[in-house]
Formats: sequence, C-alpha cells, structure tokens
Amino acid sequence: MHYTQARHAPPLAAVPWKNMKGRAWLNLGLVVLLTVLALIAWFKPSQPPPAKNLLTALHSGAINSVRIQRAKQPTLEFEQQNRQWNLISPMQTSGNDVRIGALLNLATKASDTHYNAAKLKLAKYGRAKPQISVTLSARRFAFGDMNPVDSRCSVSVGNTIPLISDDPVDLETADAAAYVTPKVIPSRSKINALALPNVELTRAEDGQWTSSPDKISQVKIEALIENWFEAQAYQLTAHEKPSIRY
Amino acid sequence: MFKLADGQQMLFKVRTAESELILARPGLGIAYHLLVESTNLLLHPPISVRGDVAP
Repeated sequence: MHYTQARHAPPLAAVPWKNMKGRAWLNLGLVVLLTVLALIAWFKPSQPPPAKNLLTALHSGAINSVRIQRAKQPTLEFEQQNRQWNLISPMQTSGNDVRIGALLNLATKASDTHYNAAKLKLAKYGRAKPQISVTLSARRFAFGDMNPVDSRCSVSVGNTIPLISDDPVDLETADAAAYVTPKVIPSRSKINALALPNVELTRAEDGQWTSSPDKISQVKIEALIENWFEAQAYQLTAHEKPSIRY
Repeated sequence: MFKLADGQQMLFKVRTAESELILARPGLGIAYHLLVESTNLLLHPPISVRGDVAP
C-alpha cells in the first residue's frame, strides 16, 4: 500500500511551489512587484510641463509706444513710426532697436509663479512705491524687488504679480544715451552736404558730388558718405562734460 | 557738419583720444564713441593729386 502511493505520486520537480518555503514566496512576490513597477514606469505617459502664463495677451507687434519711468532717471518715451522706433523724450532721435526689443518682450514673457496683489503686503516686496515701471501701449509693468535667492523679479501687471527671470538689464540705471541708436547717421537720412575739417562736399540735384578746395573723385566721395552711414558707436554717453575739449 | 535734404543740420564736434574717436552732437546731448581706426575713414578722404601720371 505504501509502495503504491509512492509510485503514483507526481515527481517533486513538476510542482515546485509545493516545496517552496516562506522566504522563496517572498522573493517571488518582490520580483513580480518590481516587474510591475518597471512596466508602469516604462509605459507611464509623460507629464505635461508646468503651466506657464504669459504676462499679457498683448502681441509685441501691436505695441506702438513705450514709456520708462524711473525714480532716479528722467522718463524715456518712445514711439513707433513707419516701423522704426524713435526716442521722443527727453530728446528726439532714432531709438536703439535692441534695447527697445527687450522691453517689448516683456509683454509675452512667461511666468510659472503668480501672486494676487490683493493678498500680499506690497511693501514687503518693494511694491508699495515701485521705483521702475514700463508702459507698453496702455499696459503698465511695475517692477518690484529682486529675490536674491533665485534672482527672479516681481512685476505688477494689473492685479497680478508674476515672478519673472532675466528682466531687462540695467533698466534702473541706463541713461537716455543708452536708448539711442548706435548708428552715427540715421539710415533714412539724405545728405546734401558735408563739411569736414579740410574739405567741403556738396551734392548737386543730379546726385553728383563736388569737393572744395581739393579735388576728390566721385567714387571716393561716395565711399566716404557710405562710411558715415555704416559708422556705429561702441558706446554712447551723455555729452555734458565741459571739461572735454573738442 | 552735415546738411540734410530736409533742411536739418547735424553738427559733430570731433575729439580723438588715445584709443577712440568721439563724435559729439551738442544739439542732441549725445557723444558717440568709435574706434580710433574710424578717424581716417570718416574725416580724411583721400584727395586726388592733380598732375598724376598714369603708369
């Protein structure tokens, strides 16, 4: 009888789980769990990036006036005419497109952190009396203090205070000269005469140039005029130093 | 000094320093700082010498 039972019993290798102990079951469970977690991680749909809101819905192409108001510098005003930006106050000349472009980018700058102005103690963030504000058409951006930890700056736009990084450089200190085009001669100018220390050049109605007292060839005069149109300053400063003799 | 077609005049005061050419526009209150290498290109046009003999 005993022999018969042993003869008909299935071999142990065919049903290994019947011989598994508690530790083996635990290991098997952990392997299954790790496999499931790996599959979840592998097939997990990508997370959408954190939502970023634009400071305004204003398109930079729709802006035709810019005003910079600062506590310690004169107010600067710009107007766009015929697709060219002109500085109209405190002086009237062509504006610096690069600097003005940086201001226009404020309108479409993105921010992932916003605060409600009504719920903040504005003085704590340097916002009770903003020292700098930029107005793009009718939208005013009032700048507050910069966070020394992450170098982000708070900007009031209506009742919202978003935090932005890389605010326009030296907005607080740059004088009017920094916002003037570096081109010595505005590109749309039409020159009729040029008086240099040793020679005078005059353009006739037919476009031909004459020089006096010395004779200069037409080609060389035109090259000289072109040089003036291409001349760009590497720096502009206010001309207010009587100590400098010209 | 430039005379423009629209009747405006642009007066520059010129000063050459050691490494720069400064063109100031007193009427505008702006001084343009250029590399000193620009001096000849802007202020001293090459003058044609009369009586040159063609080679």
